[in-house]
Amino acid sequence: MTRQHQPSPPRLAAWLLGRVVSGDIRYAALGDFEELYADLAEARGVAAARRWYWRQTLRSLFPFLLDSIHWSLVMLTNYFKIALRNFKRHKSYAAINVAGLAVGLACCLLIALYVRDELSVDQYHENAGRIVRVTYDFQTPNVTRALAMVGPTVGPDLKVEFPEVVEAVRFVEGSFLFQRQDDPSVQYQEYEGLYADASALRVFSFGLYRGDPQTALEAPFSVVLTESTARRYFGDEDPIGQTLMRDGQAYTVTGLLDDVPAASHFTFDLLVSLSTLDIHSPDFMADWWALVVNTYLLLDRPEAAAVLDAKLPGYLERQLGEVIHEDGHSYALATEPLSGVYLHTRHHSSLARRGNAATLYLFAGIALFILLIACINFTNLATARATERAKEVGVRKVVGAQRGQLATQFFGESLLMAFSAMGLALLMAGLVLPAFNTFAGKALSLGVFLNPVFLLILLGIVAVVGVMAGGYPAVVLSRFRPIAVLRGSLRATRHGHVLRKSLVVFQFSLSIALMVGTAVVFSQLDYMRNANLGFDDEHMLTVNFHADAAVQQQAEAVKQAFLQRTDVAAVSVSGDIPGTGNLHAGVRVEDSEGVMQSMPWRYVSADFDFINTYGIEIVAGRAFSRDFPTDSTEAMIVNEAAFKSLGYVSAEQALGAAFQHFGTPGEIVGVARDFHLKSLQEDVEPIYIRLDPRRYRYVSLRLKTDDLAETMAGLEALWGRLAPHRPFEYSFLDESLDRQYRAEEQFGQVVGLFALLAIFVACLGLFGLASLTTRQRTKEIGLRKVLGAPVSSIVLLLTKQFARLVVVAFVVAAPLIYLAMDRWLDNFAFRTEIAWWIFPTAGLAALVIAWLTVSFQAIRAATANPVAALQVE
Amino acid sequence: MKLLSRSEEVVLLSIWRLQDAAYGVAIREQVSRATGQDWSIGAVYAPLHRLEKKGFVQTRKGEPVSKRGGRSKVYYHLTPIGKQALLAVKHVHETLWSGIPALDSDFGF
Repeated sequence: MTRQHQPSPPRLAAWLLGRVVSGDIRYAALGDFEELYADLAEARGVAAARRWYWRQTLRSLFPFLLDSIHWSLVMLTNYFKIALRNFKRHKSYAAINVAGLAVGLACCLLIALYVRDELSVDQYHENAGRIVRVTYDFQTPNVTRALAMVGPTVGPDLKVEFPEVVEAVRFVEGSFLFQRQDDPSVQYQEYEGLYADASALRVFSFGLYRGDPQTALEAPFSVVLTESTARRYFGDEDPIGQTLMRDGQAYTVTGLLDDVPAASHFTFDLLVSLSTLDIHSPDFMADWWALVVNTYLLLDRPEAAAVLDAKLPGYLERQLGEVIHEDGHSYALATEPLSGVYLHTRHHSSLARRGNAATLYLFAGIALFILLIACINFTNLATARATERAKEVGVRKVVGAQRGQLATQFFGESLLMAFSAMGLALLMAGLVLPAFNTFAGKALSLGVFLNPVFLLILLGIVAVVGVMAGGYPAVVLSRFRPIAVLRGSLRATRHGHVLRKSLVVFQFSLSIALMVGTAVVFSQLDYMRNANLGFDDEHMLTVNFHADAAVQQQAEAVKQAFLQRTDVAAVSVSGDIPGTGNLHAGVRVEDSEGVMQSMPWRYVSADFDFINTYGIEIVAGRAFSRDFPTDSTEAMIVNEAAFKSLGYVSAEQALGAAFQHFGTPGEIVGVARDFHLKSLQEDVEPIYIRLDPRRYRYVSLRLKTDDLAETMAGLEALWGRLAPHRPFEYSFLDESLDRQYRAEEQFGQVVGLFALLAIFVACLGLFGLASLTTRQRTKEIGLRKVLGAPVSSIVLLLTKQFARLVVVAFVVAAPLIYLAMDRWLDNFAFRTEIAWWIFPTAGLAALVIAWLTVSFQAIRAATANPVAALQVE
Repeated sequence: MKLLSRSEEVVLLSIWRLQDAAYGVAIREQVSRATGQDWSIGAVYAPLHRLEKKGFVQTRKGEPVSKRGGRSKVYYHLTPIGKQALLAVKHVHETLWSGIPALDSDFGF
């Protein structure tokens, strides 16, 4: 065709028109524009024509726009209808796809909530960016410690000496038995009470809603209650100014706090002014070595932490003197930001709850993997169905569908599924959440998803999942050449086969790995629970009387009273029991070379009967004995780890070694077989035991009874007579030791849950895939049956290939998970070996599950009437 | 069958009137003249698009025209159901108009 040179219409307007006119009318409408423009240009000149063109464009814009929106909506509803029709026709396929994705998404939702919650810990403090915690690392030839606790003097020292420190806040755990002055029957033992500096209320945002943040904790014998604690004592009365009694001393309520948010690394029910301890325990408050004080600093600016850290070694040297330069000793005082205290610290504090960043990332990783598997299944199934849908594609193409339209159609279906899956996932997550909360120890709620930002992210994720999952089929299916398809010459490509197989392998690898992981976690737990702790933890009942002075004074009488009972075999009163035990670095002991060394051992204060009651074995020397009156001041028993850290070769050598403790001298009289005070995650620590009635805190009873209920009732009644003002607060030692492994147990449960989900999702995928393969081989199966093949051989034929994939998955997963779990076990000082049988068991389980999944389809196909199969088409 | 909208009816009638000469420019002229209003091109094509999708009109391309940027004129024809649709509207109109007092003698006695 020829084209004369003509004046062209305004470019911008023409471009604008080109954007808004779409569909069938585009060709005709744009032609009309040009024709009228050309006519006008000829008749009335180019300028007039251009003006007309602009005016006409603007006037047409709106109708054209409406038109194109109208038709795309019509298209969308059309796609939607077809998608729904497709789902209806292939119900099981759609159900599998949606359910699989939903499980993956629900998993991710829960983990996202969990991760978000873990990351938000301590973030609510206004000064969060400027608060640091003081840490203390020290190492002697045999002991290494990383503490987040220092002596009581450190905080005030730092505030005085360094201008970067605006405020210092100290928290000391305390034991409080409070009763109302005007009504002594209102009495509670407070487990979560802290002594705190007055600065605590200025530095931390604890939500003081009554009282003066400057002075509430200033005066001795002041107490600030959280809302629920106040309610416990005072109900609806106004607690401010009320008096609570403790050991005959009056404490005044000076402030009220909101309950401490769950997202805190430590919590409390009440705060007592730390100045109280200045009066109660002036010795303690002046003791640099009482490493039990959680100390936080408010800095003048966030960057000041580095400046301060550089100055701290100088301070330490001034405090410790020459000790610091002894061979093999190293001491370091430093700070760590509040933001890292929960998840990233390696420093221990008895007050602080600790999260585990590695576990958190691991969970997030596994959740993403499960989602990935679900997406893979989706893609996998859709591509596998490509052959089936190829005809539909061919017909549509012949009828005139554009490739883009077909791709849109497939994307639409995939998105529709993704969004239904999302809906289902939210429902699932909502249903599971209460259970999840109980075992994760959280108070998560789906409410966050109402937050517009979160909602947007959620929709974004779903869209991405939909597009990702629908992407491959959309591109591949829409590319089919209609002739090839309709002639039936289309075969699933080899490439597709390999892809599909490797996806199955990947899924089962993950499933097997998680199964093995679960088994290893639980076998380690089992190992720790049944390990020989160096003492007998069965039938041990401990009663905590919180170092009540009245009980301490009549300790002997209490013991005798318990011993009168036939169901009590042995009694000991002590300051520490397994699971507790404070660190006190203030002991100096003579080493193998005759030099007095200061040793950071764990201190267990006990009575004469402690060793016997707990069944601790003495390997050299003797136990404490009433036959040696000097024992009560001059004797010490150490464990094997302790004498070794002094450089002695044998336990006998250590006997008679001199020590200095709390200013009194003495010598080692016995060496005990190593026993565990703490969880088996940690090595056996050097421990020293001394007689120390001032620290008595627990009564330990070894029971021998067949009727536990009666014994408990009797013991409680007896306690009521011995210490009427004290609640009978008991626990069984094996149970309380077991609680140390709660984190591991939770870890095992979560991994186990993940394993179940991974297997479920993998099976859904396998089920869908198997049904498609079986359908594709309908004719083959029919022929084989006609030719006389038995059902069993056909089932075998169909399941064989999947079984082979599971075997490959096992080969891939086994070494990897072995290495991973071996590393995990290395976190434990006392670890079990990974039992070899775990692997074949997990592999076999996966195989059986896969086989059951596939054989359901296979048996149906194999038992079907071959006539029906051969009649297809 | 749903009744035609007013704009669809006007466009469809114009196509019928124009017979073999019914293409965009002519239709727009016809519509504008008949209604006494200047219809924008967009305003004509929106109902045209719907009519085509509903199967009331069919298109046929003529020879390429240089004035149209080398595009052909696109001629619109009524299909049998398009005619039916027109007749249906006509019937409605006649029913509505029959037997009512004359509008133009409304102010009489």
